[in-house]
Amino acid sequence: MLMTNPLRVHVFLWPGLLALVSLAGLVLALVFDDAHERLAMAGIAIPVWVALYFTGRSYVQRR
Amino acid sequence: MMTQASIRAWAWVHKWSSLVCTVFMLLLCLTGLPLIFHHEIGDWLGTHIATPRLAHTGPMANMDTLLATAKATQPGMVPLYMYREEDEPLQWIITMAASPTADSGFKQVVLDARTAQVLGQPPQEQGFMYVMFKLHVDLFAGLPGMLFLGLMGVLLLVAIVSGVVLYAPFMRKLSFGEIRRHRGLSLKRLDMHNFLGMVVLSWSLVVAATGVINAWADLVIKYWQADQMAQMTAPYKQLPPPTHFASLQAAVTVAQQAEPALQLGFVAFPGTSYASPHHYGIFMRGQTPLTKRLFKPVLVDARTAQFTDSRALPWYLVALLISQPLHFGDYGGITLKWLWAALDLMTIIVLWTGLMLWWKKRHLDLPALRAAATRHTTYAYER
Repeated sequence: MLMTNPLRVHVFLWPGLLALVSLAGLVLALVFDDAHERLAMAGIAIPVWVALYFTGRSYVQRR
Repeated sequence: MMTQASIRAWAWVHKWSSLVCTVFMLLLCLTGLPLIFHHEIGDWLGTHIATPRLAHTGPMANMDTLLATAKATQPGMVPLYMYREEDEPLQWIITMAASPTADSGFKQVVLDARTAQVLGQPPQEQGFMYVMFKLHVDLFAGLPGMLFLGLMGVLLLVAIVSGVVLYAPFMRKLSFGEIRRHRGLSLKRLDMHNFLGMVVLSWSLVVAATGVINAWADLVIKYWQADQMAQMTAPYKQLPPPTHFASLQAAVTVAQQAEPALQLGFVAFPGTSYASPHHYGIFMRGQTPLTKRLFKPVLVDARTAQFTDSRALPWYLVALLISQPLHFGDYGGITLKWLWAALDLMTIIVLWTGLMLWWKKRHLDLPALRAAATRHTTYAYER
């Protein structure tokens, strides 16, 4: 149901998932060290990669 | 589904909460950027003092020797705090001033923890990083400046929440991440604003909320002094301040014995904000990534070096201490610093595109407003 409704996927699912992953990364990187910390930092990095991907894609599509 | 009236109401909240705080938030994002890399910039500018490499196998220098060396370097000044930077564990930094309650005129003496040699005296209250720091923390206006920026932080939180509420009605016809570059500058800006705003949502919420908490730091510490510190030092209330001080090394040893599971964090000397006029405030901390940021004060009588009291920090100071790394982004090495910088830059884009959207819309509205005003004037004139 959730995945078949484009409004829910694009407006709620992806932004919500992104927010949760990066929030979890921010908190867990403070609590853990070593391997867990690196995993948490990957969570913080996801929004940066998502922003770069979609911004870059919009340039390519324009051409 | 939101009604038109509720969309208009949320849009009004978003517009005005953002407009009031945007200029200050842009300033905070811009000044925060160099502050993220203050250690690296210190290395680059040559203001960071490195520990020399020595083949040292003996014990660390006595705390009293370190203190005496610092006092000899800055005669006539009193020590305020003694602490170590996390990335320089073989250094002790002693901050000094003309009096324990001074709020300017600070000097710092950096000492080698092994040999008690003076490594340097970095300049205080001057330079590019100091200007960035003061602009970021209090706009050179002290406590009123801090509280004002805290209020701007609250408005940013309101703007973020109202922006999230408005995301669905404005983006329901677009795929996630779609930016309409071919349909004019305004739509491109709107899509960038909405998309990047949603991408940095968690980070900006966390940094804004922790910034608001930090803006209250001075008042929170004053409350702690009036509350817990006053209770711990109540028996000393009527006594005159000591004129002779016991050994600092003995006081630190007493604190270590009182809290054997913790390690020494920093020392607050008698009369400063984190101690009483009669006590050394020895702040112990844990050793895990989280607990090393949480301190436990041990008060040691400054005249006799006897243990006085120790108690866990109250919730409001725990909240303040945990909020600091989440605001500074200094808890994950250089990788996290670069991520913080990237997220900060994205927030600058969100703020800038939001400001531009309002500015352009404001100009579009002007002819309509002018026409309405003209109609009204003509009507009144004709009557």
